[in-house]
Amino acid sequence: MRYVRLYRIFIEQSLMKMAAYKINFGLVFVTNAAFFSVQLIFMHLVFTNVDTLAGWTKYEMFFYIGTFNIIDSLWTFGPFFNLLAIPGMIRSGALDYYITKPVNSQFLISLRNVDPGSLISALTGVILITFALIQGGMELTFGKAVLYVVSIFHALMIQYSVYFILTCSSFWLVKADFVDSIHGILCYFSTRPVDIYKGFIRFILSYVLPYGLALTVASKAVVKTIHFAEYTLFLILSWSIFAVSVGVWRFSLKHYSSASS
Amino acid sequence: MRKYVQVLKLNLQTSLAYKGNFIFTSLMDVFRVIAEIAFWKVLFDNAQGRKINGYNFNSIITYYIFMFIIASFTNVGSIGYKVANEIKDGALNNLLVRPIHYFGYYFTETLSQKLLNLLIALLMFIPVIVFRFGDLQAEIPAAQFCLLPVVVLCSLILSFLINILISLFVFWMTEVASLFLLKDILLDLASGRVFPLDLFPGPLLNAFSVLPFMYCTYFPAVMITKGLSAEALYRGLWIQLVWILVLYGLIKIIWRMGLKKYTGTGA
Amino acid sequence: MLAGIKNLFLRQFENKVAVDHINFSIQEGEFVGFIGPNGAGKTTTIKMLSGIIHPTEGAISVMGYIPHRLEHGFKKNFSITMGQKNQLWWDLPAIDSFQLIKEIYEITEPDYTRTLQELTELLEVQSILNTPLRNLSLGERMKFELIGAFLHGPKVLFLDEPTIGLDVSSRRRIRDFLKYINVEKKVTVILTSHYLEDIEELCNRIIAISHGKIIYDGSLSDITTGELPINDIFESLFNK
Repeated sequence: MRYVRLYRIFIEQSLMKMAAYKINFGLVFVTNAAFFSVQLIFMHLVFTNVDTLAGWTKYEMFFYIGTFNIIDSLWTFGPFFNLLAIPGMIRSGALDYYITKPVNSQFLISLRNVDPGSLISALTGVILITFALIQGGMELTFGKAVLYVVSIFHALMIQYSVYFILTCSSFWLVKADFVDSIHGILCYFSTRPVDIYKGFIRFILSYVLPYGLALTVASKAVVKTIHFAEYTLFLILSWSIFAVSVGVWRFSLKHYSSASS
Repeated sequence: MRKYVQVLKLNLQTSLAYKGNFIFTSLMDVFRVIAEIAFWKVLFDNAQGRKINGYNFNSIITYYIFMFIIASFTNVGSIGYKVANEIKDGALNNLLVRPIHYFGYYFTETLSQKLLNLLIALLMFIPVIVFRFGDLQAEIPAAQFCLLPVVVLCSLILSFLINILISLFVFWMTEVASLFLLKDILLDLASGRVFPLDLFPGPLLNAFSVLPFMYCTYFPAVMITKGLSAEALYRGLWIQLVWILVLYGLIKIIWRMGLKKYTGTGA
Repeated sequence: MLAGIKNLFLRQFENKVAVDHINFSIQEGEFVGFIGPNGAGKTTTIKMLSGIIHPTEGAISVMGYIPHRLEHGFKKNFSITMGQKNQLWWDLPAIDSFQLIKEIYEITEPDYTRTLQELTELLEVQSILNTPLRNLSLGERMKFELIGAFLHGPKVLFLDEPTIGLDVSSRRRIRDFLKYINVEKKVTVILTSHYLEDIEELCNRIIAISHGKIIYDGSLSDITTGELPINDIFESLFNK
């Protein structure tokens, strides 16, 4: 498909750009590993005191953290830096070039830059989930693997849509710094499975800003049992929020007044 | 001395312009405390009423609340970026010709910002404290209370010196952004901002206690929460002071080495 | 009827009227210059013609399309450049940006190669095709921007201040280029510029806008009597 070809070019060109800047991949890896190591150390210490936490065992928790890492890395690989740049593009007027190309403008503006270095970070996540599966004696069937991959894609879609919708506020406000802060807080809450939370918080994390749900479903699909209803709801939720993001984009463009010359 | 006071006043005024930023950051901290409260509640439920490394539910949330308040004062990550960027851009020249001591200037600036930060954090956390008042558990003896500001001030100075020391690496490295990120992550762990350090087993905790990091945030926080014996308190204070001197000396040496290498590039 | 605008009326955020009941139509192959003081509404008009902004009232038709519907068919047939704002990748050589443009506009391989060769020869930039854009001068970058704008063979070109900030010889080269594609390729060009030589040499028609209204629409020769220098004529136009 045409958009797949386009994305391949985005990746190629981002790789070329990286070569020009000589990023230290080793450092990226170490930093990412450090962040998740801290989480792991904490969990390890916690589990010397208890056997399960809200129904999650130690290695199931490790798996969850590894999944978080993978999704977070794919997030920075693809949409993140592009969305971060949107308010600046609106201010400078560079957005105009995106609107006038015969390509879906939301696709172009969300995915144009690729951060290949993030794939290295994803590697730590993969290592971690492998470790968790082996140490925890958990079996990975083909079916579960498929469910897992599908849910990772949909978790990304949820993250993207929420962040994108919030970023579109910069069409009307000048700055949109709060978006990244909200995202940061949601991630902070989501470093643990959503089962930990109760009541109001759980509701927000599951249905309003569903980072929590997204991450939890992905892990559950492999290390626990997941009910058909919950999984389907998750998929529907993911596509619904995406549809909202498309609507918000169209609406924003319609009322776009563009930077003055 | 007077010129430092002037700088302080000037910076306080500019900092007020950023108060929105501070309010927002502190609000985020409040949310983080809420996340931690939820997490530890579940943990203690699962632990069936046992204590965890000497903490019960009430004392752990007390820890987090006071840790975040103190951290708003002692967390000075941004100063490292500032110094590093100035060295990289060659803007250093401007400040080297001024009669005021370079780091003294920055410390005064930091102090004024952090005071404001602290004030706002205290305000933001008041509803949390009031809401959870029955639950809070502070074990600090009244006698130690007057030493608390001293400890906290030393924590700030330590944190400041550590960040400056690391930022000086920019004299020898080109890419420092990743290094700083790594530093932030490790420092968060080592200064007790992820969890109280006495969750670590004994020997590990002892190892940490001779390093300066835990005295940036953990030490004053645990002083309020669990309470320290007079002996432990004075030992900690003494280690703080020793490290302040050591780091100050290290910075002076590395600074001189760096300036020799510094050719005013980027100007 | 290439572009018809009827009774356009656009309100901006603070209720400032940017464009006030503008009415004109442009035929295929014309080379039109929009002139006027800053804030007069030239760029706003161009942005409406290219579909970036929606007009508050009125009708626009460009090549039979309604611009702000932003249909792919429409977008494939025009190009817009805005002053010094770069479309091309800053860190990569122009050739790589062109590859992306080729894919975005779905240009066939033979068309692409042929057009690229023709345009780079015309502007004499073959030798720097592989130099990263950030290492080039402003004039060279602008030349590549224009090539990039024309690679897909648009029928309409919107140029907002294409020669701003360039030195005299670059401006001349670019003017020759624009003249060529207008005459030989029958491309309709709509241009705004503060440089009177651009207007004089290129445009067979000028539309003067002031405070959002058209105050003159016609050929340049009709208002130049040959006695007064162009500057003075324009000055008096805008001081009315």
